[in-house]
Amino acid sequence: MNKFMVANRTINMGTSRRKFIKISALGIGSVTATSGALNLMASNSYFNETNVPILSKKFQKIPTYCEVCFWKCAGWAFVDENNSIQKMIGNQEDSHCFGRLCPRGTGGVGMYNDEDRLKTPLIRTTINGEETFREASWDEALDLIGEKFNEVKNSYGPESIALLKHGSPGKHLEHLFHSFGSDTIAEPAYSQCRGPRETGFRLTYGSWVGSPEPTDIRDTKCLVLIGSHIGENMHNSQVQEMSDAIDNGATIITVDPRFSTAASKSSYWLAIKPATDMALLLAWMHVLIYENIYDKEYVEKYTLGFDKLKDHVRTFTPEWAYGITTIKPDVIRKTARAMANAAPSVVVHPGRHVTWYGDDTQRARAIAILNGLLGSWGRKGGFYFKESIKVPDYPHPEYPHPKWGWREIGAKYPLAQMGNTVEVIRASIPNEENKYPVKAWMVAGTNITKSIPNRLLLEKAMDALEFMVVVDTMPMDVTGYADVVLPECTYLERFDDIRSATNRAPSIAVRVPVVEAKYNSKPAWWMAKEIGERMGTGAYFNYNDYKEVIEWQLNEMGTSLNEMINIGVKNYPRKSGPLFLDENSSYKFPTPSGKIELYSQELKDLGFDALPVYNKHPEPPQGFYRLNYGRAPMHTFSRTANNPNLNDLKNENTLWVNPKVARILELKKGQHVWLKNQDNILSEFSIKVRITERVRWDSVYMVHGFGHNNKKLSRAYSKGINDTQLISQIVEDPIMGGTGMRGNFVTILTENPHKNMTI
Amino acid sequence: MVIDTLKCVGCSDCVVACQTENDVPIGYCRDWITETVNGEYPNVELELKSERCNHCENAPCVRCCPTGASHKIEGGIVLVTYNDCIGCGACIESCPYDARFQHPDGYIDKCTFCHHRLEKGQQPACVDVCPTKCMYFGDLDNPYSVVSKLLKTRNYKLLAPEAGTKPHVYYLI
Repeated sequence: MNKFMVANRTINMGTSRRKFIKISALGIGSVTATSGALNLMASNSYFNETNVPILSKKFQKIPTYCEVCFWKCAGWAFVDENNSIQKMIGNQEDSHCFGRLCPRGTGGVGMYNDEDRLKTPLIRTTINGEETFREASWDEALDLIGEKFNEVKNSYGPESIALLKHGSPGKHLEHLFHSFGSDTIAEPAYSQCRGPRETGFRLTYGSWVGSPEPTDIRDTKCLVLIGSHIGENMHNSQVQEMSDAIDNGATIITVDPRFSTAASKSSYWLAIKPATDMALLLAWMHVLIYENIYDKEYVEKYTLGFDKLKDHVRTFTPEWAYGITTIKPDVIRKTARAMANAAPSVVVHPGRHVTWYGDDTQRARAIAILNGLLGSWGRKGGFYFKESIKVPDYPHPEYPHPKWGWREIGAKYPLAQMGNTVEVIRASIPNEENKYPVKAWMVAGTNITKSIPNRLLLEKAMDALEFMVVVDTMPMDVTGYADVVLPECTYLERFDDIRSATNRAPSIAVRVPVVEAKYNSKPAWWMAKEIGERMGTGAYFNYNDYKEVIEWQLNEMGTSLNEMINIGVKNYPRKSGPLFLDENSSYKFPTPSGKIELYSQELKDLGFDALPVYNKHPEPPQGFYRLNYGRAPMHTFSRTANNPNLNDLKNENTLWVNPKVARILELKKGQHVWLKNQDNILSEFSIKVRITERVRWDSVYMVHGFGHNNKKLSRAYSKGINDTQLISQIVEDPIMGGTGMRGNFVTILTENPHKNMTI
Repeated sequence: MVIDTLKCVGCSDCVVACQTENDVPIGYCRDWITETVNGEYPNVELELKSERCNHCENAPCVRCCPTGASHKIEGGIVLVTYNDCIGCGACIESCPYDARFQHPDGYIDKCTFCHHRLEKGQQPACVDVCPTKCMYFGDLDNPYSVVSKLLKTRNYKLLAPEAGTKPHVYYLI
């Protein structure tokens, strides 16, 4: 059986109805708020008349939680007497940051200060045959959305309106969608990111990993990272805990073809050949079992299917894995023994962005099984049992029941736990056989042109839509495809939902407006309410200010908004039982068998491998290099590239090239090159070469999130290459629909391929 | 100041925290990250560290300053009195660490170890914000301080010791 489905990538591009509008290229009615921006800079001037820095100001502290990434650290905004935000500092009581924000959180004020922000609603229009945007009032924009959404609702049903979202605005809009009867909701955070590990761990332990991951890194004796680059991904408390682990002398084992920052902190760096991690994981299991160094008591007491696993990995010796991974057998044995010595205080990290090769759920299963053999789940220094507190739902009428939604659209992936963005995109391309036609989109807080691979498919879908709304704070590339653009105010200018953290102990945090919303921007909760009222679901929005909602919720939870404004974060005692397994009593895992399922009958019944197997993945053809991508600690996806503070730290990505490759191709440090992938897709812009021993000779690497093509992003425009644009070959995970993106290969061009082309 | 290079991940949080704490205009910085890579794949070493003014005991910037704007205060911190600074740049030339820059308003600027925070009993902003807790600040004259203990128990290095400036930022290795 062919385990992998390769996405169709031969889509003919017709003439585009929805022509991409670079918001910069506006004709009449363009956004001319430069004077406002200049005033802003003046009012934010850092210096008094004598040009001496003002350091002894009186500040007011206002609580918020960060929205620059998904970690959502709670902190304080320090506001001076001129109502100007001077700095952001972490909340000491917060288990996400322990008083220390990361560079993005510290520089979060740049999101508010960015003079390139969306400033007023925009509506697509045609002037002299040119498609462009014109400024609109909120009423005009919202009326149009109400009218168009009602049209789609009446013609096709409310289910045909889809929401693609990320972060805090998504929650408010989800409520709106549920209110009018659509559950056609998806986010790239699942099928383009952490979905496989959630499904893989759910199959094994009965509960998904979730965010923040319940890894007890601070007390671990051995941390194993499979392609996870903690430190470059700035998942705050996890970075802090890795630092604690280094202080405690923990053994760190990093498996990565690239010498990541984490690899440089490791006792063992396994410079693995890309796409072969599964072989290593199986060989580690082999060593643990056949050297008899796994946690026998734990395996006997809590797991199911050990004998089948033992049989399964019999032939997966370190010598077998050596031929595949290029990791020497003695290193495989040594590292397996290091894990066993530390067990059960071992964290084999589930990873976060794990949509790599299409067999990712199975790789996550292998990681979960390995943790099971080491007895680390539910053990100190391994994985703890997380707990959160339920924030009561603000009363509203019962939601209507949609006839179909994300489940039906993604039905071919039996174990998907959330909406699959790519399937929603496919369902938006007209096709007579499609029983679930999607006709309109609302895209909120996610720049899908940089988070969804296979641009041609995405553009085809957007072209076919009857209506598309984008909600964002910045003129991200995706806004250029919208019919209506709604400017959201930043997290520093609004109330939002109470953050209920899943952690060692439950906690809540509040987000309170630090300053008034700048320009003509509005919070997402307000947009949801206004659109709801225009779609006849006003009863679901029984408040005039979101403050009323959280005030009610906080009172229900035994606190108050006043108290929360003073403390920012409230920690609650655990109620669900001990943090780790109580060895003296029995424990039932939330799996069908009540045990840790090393062997998965559930997968077997669905026709999948019950135990993970190694499959060979495509390798780069001659002259091509595998395109690997990752994170930089000062940026989140593509959303921070234009943030003045963070752009100052890193304003473009570079192409990491091994010196051997540089010699062959005669590349110089800092030279501009262009990339072409296996499907002849050319990078829009050029990228500077970085020659470094930190990367393998068969792959190149770049930080994700650069190469913006909207001129309105004055700092980020044309800086670097957008890796996602070059990811056209997707291998879909048949179990949950994750889009494997690490099987794309690029060739390096030293001449500008666009020179003789008109763009 | 003691900085543990084994923990630093080079995230630049110290840089942006310093900028917002000290109103350093965007495009300038008082501290910065350096990355050094040695070896050949797959035997590679990487050192990341946060650098800044070393507040040298034998500070060339203080000696060469024609107006006395560059001066040392009790405790060893080197500061610039902006109103006395004529922006001649002699100190920039004399500093082996390239730790000084000309502020767009003309005067010479650099790290103050967040002197204004120390006065209030707080730590420098970079130390306080660092997510890896790799920076330590304290009194080297006190043998019981954390910094003194770290230097007694760990290997460390100084930057450009050959310059003879006796720098006061120590890097644990």
